[in-house]
Amino acid sequence: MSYQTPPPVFAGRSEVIIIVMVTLLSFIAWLYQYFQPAAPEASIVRWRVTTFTRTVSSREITRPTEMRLMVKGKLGPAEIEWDDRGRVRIASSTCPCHTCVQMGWSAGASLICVPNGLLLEPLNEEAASVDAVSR
Amino acid sequence: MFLLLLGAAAFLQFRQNSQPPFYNESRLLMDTVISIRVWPDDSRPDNSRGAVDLAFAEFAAVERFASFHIADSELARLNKTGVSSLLASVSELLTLSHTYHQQTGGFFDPSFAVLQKAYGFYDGAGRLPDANELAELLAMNCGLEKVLHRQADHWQLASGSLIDLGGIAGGYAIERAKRVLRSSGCRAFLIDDAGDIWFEGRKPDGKPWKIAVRDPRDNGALAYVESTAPLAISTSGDYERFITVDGQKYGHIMNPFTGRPVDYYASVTVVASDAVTADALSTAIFAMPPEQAFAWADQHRLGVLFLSASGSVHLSAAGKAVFSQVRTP
Repeated sequence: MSYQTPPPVFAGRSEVIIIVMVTLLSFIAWLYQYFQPAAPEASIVRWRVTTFTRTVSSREITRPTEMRLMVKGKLGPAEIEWDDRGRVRIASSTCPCHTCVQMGWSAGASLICVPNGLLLEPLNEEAASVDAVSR
Repeated sequence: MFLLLLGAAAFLQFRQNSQPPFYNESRLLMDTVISIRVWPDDSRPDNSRGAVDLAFAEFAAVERFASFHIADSELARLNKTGVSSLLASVSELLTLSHTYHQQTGGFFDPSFAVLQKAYGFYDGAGRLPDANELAELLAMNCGLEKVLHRQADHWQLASGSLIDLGGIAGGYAIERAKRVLRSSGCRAFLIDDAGDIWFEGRKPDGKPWKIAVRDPRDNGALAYVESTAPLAISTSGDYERFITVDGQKYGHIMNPFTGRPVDYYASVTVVASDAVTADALSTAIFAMPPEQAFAWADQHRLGVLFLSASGSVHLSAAGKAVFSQVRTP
């Protein structure tokens, strides 16, 4: 009767060490990604357009370039325009003073037309990484 | 070891994914967008929506009595008739205004509304009053202690003078909303009144509150405020409200002693322990010449971040401990 050593069920000692090392390194890399601070600035890839009429309604516009959007505000229609650089402005609005139109192009700041109940907010990574912006 | 690491990773992922959602609502009030965000308290039934409703009601109430523009507000009646009862709701705001006026050596001055009117800020016309007109307004209608007097049973406003509480009413409304949220059992919340901010409580993820201060030059972040303790942050700037005359921009905050729009800074951000102080002092400090403002902030141990009109950044002594990742020119 001969005695044969059974083959290893899972892995040898050296292989276990390699698996643990790889797992450990992966875990450290994951931890680094989990806790690293967000980049301080980011380009605007999305804008949220909110109208405050009898109800509040919002829509998000992703990567807008050279586009126009007509929305219905509290007093009447308003036209929002994005240029080829992703900047936005309120091109026209049914409001008495047109202060919103005079604010011109915005590369990343919110735009608002209070009388017509219109708000444009950037939704960038910066905005997502902070609780609020003091301005 | 492997199972331990796997367990830790799963726990962290679960913790990240299981953050209870906050309730967030924005409304148009006080001529701007106000947002309130509330995290529900696990130990109580979720009444976030009701609490936020009550908090917004405080903003609406302050707007009704302290609005410069609403024709039948208590403030509008004071501006029109020159008289307001001490029992009126606006009385507390007038008293606070006097306090900050004295504390800042006259630089917080809601009576410079007559100057804003002369420059055409209210009707959007935009004009430059001549030196004689300015001198007359400064002599007769500016200086809160000179034009607004507390009598035995009423406030008396000098004829031709105007009061605009826009430099303090937002902070005051935040304070009232904050009390309502607290009494409704909200433990963690953030109130954002167009950039005047109050936060308190512990967020579910345990991370500190993080507020960015907007850099008006490119809309990036000029600095950050990170804190686990409750704080109020307010920024005054001339980049959102201005008139343009002959191609030249003029901001809406006036030097109450010269009668002219100030152009020292692009923005001034104040961190304080209550929203009224942050709101009133950011306006007052914005009106001060730089050397005076720097000394005043240090003397009062106030956390202030100055961005000058030329783009240089200055931090008060207390500000160095409050603001982080400050962008330099």
